Amino acid sequence: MKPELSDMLRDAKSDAPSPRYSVDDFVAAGRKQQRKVRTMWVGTGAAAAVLAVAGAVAVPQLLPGGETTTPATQVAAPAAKPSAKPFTYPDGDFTANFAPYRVGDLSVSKAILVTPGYEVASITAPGRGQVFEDENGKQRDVGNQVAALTVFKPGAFDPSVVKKGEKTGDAYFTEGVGGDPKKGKPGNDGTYAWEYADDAWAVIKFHGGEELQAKELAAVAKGLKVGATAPVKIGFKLGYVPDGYELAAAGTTYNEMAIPLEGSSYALLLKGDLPFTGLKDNILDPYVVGDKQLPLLQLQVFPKWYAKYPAKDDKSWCESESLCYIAAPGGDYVLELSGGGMISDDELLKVLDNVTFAAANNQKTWFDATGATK
Amino acid sequence: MSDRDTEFRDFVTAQMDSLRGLAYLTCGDWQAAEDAVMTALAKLYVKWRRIDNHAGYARTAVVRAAIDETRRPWWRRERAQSDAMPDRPLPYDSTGHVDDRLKVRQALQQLPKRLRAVLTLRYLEGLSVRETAETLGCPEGTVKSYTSRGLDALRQILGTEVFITKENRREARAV
Repeated sequence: MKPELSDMLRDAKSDAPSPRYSVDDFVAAGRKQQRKVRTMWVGTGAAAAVLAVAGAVAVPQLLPGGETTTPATQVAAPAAKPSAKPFTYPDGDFTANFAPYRVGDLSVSKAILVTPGYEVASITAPGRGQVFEDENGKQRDVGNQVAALTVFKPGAFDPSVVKKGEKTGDAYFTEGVGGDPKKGKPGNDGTYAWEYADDAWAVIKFHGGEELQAKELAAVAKGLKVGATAPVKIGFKLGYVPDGYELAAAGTTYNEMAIPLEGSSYALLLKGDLPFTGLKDNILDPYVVGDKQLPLLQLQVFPKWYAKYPAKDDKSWCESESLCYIAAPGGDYVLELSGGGMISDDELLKVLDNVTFAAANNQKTWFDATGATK
Repeated sequence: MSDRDTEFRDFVTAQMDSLRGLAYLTCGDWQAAEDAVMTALAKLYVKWRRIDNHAGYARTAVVRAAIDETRRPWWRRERAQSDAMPDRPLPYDSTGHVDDRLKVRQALQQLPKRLRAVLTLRYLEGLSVRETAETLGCPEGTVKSYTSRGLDALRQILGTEVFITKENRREARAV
């Protein structure tokens, strides 16, 4: 009999274990979520809207009367100075050189993620962002990211897709599209792209729900300048790296469209060559060359309150296949290591058992990412 | 019991198996799959009155949660419940049927999650290219490309031809 894909897929899930959640559990979870939403509507004033983000609940930071807050993790950037140096891409694969700056109510951060092909900064604005609420109802302010600025190394970016946007001056603009939850439709991110040097491109990607216009993004583009040039740093150092894995990305977040949590840092190691040429977008999971995903190790430090799983004393442990953890000394931070199912848990635990932590909340103690992952 | 609760209960009862399977084939882990469904349906409950297409919303939320599951930690409370249940071991099977099932699972595991999600949505859920693109929030061209790459990869990994229905095969040719 011919192997029919639909039959194969149906069969692959046919021995499902008994559900551990009952219909009552789902109703209870929905009611709990509803209560959280109502509580925050009351607490944040009538102008607030509510977003749910994968188990956490997020609200914009609008206070009654239109007052806005500045997140603890977000330091207001200085306004762009005309005397600063025009931007040039730094030498070295894991070197960052953004100068933080502000244009209107948009603040551009220093680099939050660096790869051999590009560096990324977050763009934040007051009154448009999120706070998380943990299981005890405590709200955590993690900043108000509305967009990400990615500056590609010369020759790394293929602009054919962004060039389909509307030409505006020397740039190309594609309007964002907000999602329509009523119809179950997601939105699409908008982009603003320009060539900052010969064959060297920069792209601002913004959430579809943000009504950012080409004019204000042009001002952001104009403000891009060179700041302090330094190797990217992370809050941990590996004492053991499995054979063949090499650093492919490092910074303070894995997701450039989400502002880093305070004290968080991130490193991605890949086994095999990932070409950083001809890119049409930032490289997100999956890291695929041809039809094959490269074996990867993703390491991320984040605060304990953000952790899904409780720490188990000072020992490393795996919660499920290829997803392992260790708590940093003091227990306030957790290091997550994901192996993507392409390396044994024993190897992952060996990596975690040989980690040295810096002080997560003191970046002066952090390690150069390149040296810390060899 | 409110009308919403009644309607929501009916929806969960009718869709649970389908959503669990969709999440499982996307993320490859039953516990993570159930957590993804829980997160998605809790959101759906809150928005129940504001959403017309409940199944579409749930499908989108489940797939996205399943893709993100290993990368986005969440509440400890939920973890405490998920500790209780290990995945069921495969029973011995002299017919080789379980062997085949295991091979297909292992083959799927070798695909990136987004490729798995595309294949599952199109060939298990029977969504069109456009519907799959809307569910995943990506261009239709990406869905076509992932479909082609996913099918080729499955064929290579399994070492055999993989057939799709006539209707879907026509769409696949348009890649």
